[in-house]
Amino acid sequence: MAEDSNAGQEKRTAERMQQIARLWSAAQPLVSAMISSTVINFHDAEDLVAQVAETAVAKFDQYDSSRPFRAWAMGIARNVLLRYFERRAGDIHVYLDPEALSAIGNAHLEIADEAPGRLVALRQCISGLRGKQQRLFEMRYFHDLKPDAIAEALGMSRNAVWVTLHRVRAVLMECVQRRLSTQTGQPQ
Amino acid sequence: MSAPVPEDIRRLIDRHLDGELSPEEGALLVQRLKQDAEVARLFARAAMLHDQARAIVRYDRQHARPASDHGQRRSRRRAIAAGAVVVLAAACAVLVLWRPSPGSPVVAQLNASADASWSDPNVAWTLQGGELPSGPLRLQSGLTEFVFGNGAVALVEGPALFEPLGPDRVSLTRGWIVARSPGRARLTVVTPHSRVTDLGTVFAVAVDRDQRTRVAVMEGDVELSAAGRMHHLRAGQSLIVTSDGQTRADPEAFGQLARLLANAPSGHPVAKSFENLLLDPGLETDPRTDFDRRSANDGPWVASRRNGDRAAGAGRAGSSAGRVRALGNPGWPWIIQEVETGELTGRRVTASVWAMHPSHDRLTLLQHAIVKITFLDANGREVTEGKTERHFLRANEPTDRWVHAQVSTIAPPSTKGVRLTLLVNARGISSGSVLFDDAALTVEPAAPRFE
Repeated sequence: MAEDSNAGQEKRTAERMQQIARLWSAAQPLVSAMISSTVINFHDAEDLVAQVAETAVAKFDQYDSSRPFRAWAMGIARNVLLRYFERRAGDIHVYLDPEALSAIGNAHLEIADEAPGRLVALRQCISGLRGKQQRLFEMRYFHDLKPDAIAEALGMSRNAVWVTLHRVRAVLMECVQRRLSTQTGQPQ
Repeated sequence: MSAPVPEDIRRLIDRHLDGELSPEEGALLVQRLKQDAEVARLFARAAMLHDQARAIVRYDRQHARPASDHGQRRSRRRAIAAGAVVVLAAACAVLVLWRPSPGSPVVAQLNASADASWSDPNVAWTLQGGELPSGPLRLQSGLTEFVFGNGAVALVEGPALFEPLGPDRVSLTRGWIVARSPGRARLTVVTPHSRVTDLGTVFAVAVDRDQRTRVAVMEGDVELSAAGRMHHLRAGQSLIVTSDGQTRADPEAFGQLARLLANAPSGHPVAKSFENLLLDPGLETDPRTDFDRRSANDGPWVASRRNGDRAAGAGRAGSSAGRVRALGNPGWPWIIQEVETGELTGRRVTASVWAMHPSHDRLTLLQHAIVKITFLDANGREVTEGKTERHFLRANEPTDRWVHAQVSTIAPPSTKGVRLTLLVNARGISSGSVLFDDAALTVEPAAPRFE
């Protein structure tokens, strides 16, 4: 009898873990995007995503399954971020307050479904970069160099690097929008 | 239709993503984010582009193929695009770590570090990813250990300014380097006024504030070239060379050399080998095959539920190995062993393990292995200080080949036990496994003395 009870308990635990895994795998890109858009240090961002995952598992009993899981997970991410900003207040400029984080979180939720299409479009747009734009893009995104370091490496002024990077991003953003509009027939 | 977001706000968003906003600019951006949902959506899309750009460029560089490979490129690109979608769908695409492709020459790689602080925070992240940042490296404090392409090991103590120049060469402008060259490997240390070439040895080189070069040889021989003169130094000899080429003996250098060796983060091989504190280090003798803890009498290893088991015949010597599998659950799967050590405060603890990922269930995308040391207090609770970990065995490394990883740290106050954790950073993916074998956990006694 006790063995049956244990087996039943194990089965329920396994089912619960499967449910969490399924829900989390769908929500994680969104949580990750939210965190990496607000925490500039990649290492810290990775740790915070892991913290959100751990909290979501630990508090899964409190999750109301009639509501969207990703919104619930984003709520946890918001709280994790607030705690992080509190801890780091003395080290970094913290300007994102709870209300701003909510606005960013809501915006991420709104555009979450655009991610796969944007990724494919962006890949095509990046292949169109040439010359200095391509070089700066690689230094920023492949080598993770900040504008200061790029300027030093290329013997350019900091402002010139920054303006070029801004233009590269604007070009890519427009290119992505154009490609998405062509595919769907309407702007996103 | 909503009004377009002004250019100045677009610039603020970009500057935020580069970590360059001043507090005033941050306040302005926050105000606009709260007031205007269109600004918030633009912010989210810009952040998405920022993340995806990083993921794409790193994924492409990681999987780059020769230009002659045109025939398969289109289908591969499609596959890469699909792969990158999976990366993002599986999350954390922004955190892609890059390692040199197996064919590219390796100049040097980070082997271990202790309390290392770099003047550029990106350096730590890049090094941990297996890449060597270009240009001089400024280590502010702490210790790092590099393995050069020819197998030579160099221990660097901060503050130091140095640059690995090739698989057998490093320049040192400031600070201390202790080098060990196994077998026929040779390492040359270039300082502002001299060149020190090792002839099979353990030796230390330093450049001090006054640009003087100090050399001390512990084993073997080195050749020192300075101001047009060659000096041959044998074990036990030391020399200090001033910027104008003057030389004299430098016995104090041995004190520094001894201190560095005693604190080497990976446990320097010239230090004695100490008893392995782990029970069943090869994960072979435990009667349980799943390492699931059912009673206090069970064996020493414990695995996260359903993720760990013993793989018979898969060990390094044909015996068993411990296997940790990614099954798609959100937590990272692990195998641990906790050891009651008694008082350890202030002593160096070193953990090592062999690991490989098998071709039939290889790691993919961002997955990798981790070896981690955590300290426990008298009640078995985790002590927050002192813990350290090393990330290794990335997905693009060869399968079916054992690699060794080592990590070392100093036990903080109140330490009464150690937990060794062997993890797989599974990234929520439902495949990929790592075999672990021949783990070791050692504690060094007091530092060796060479007076």
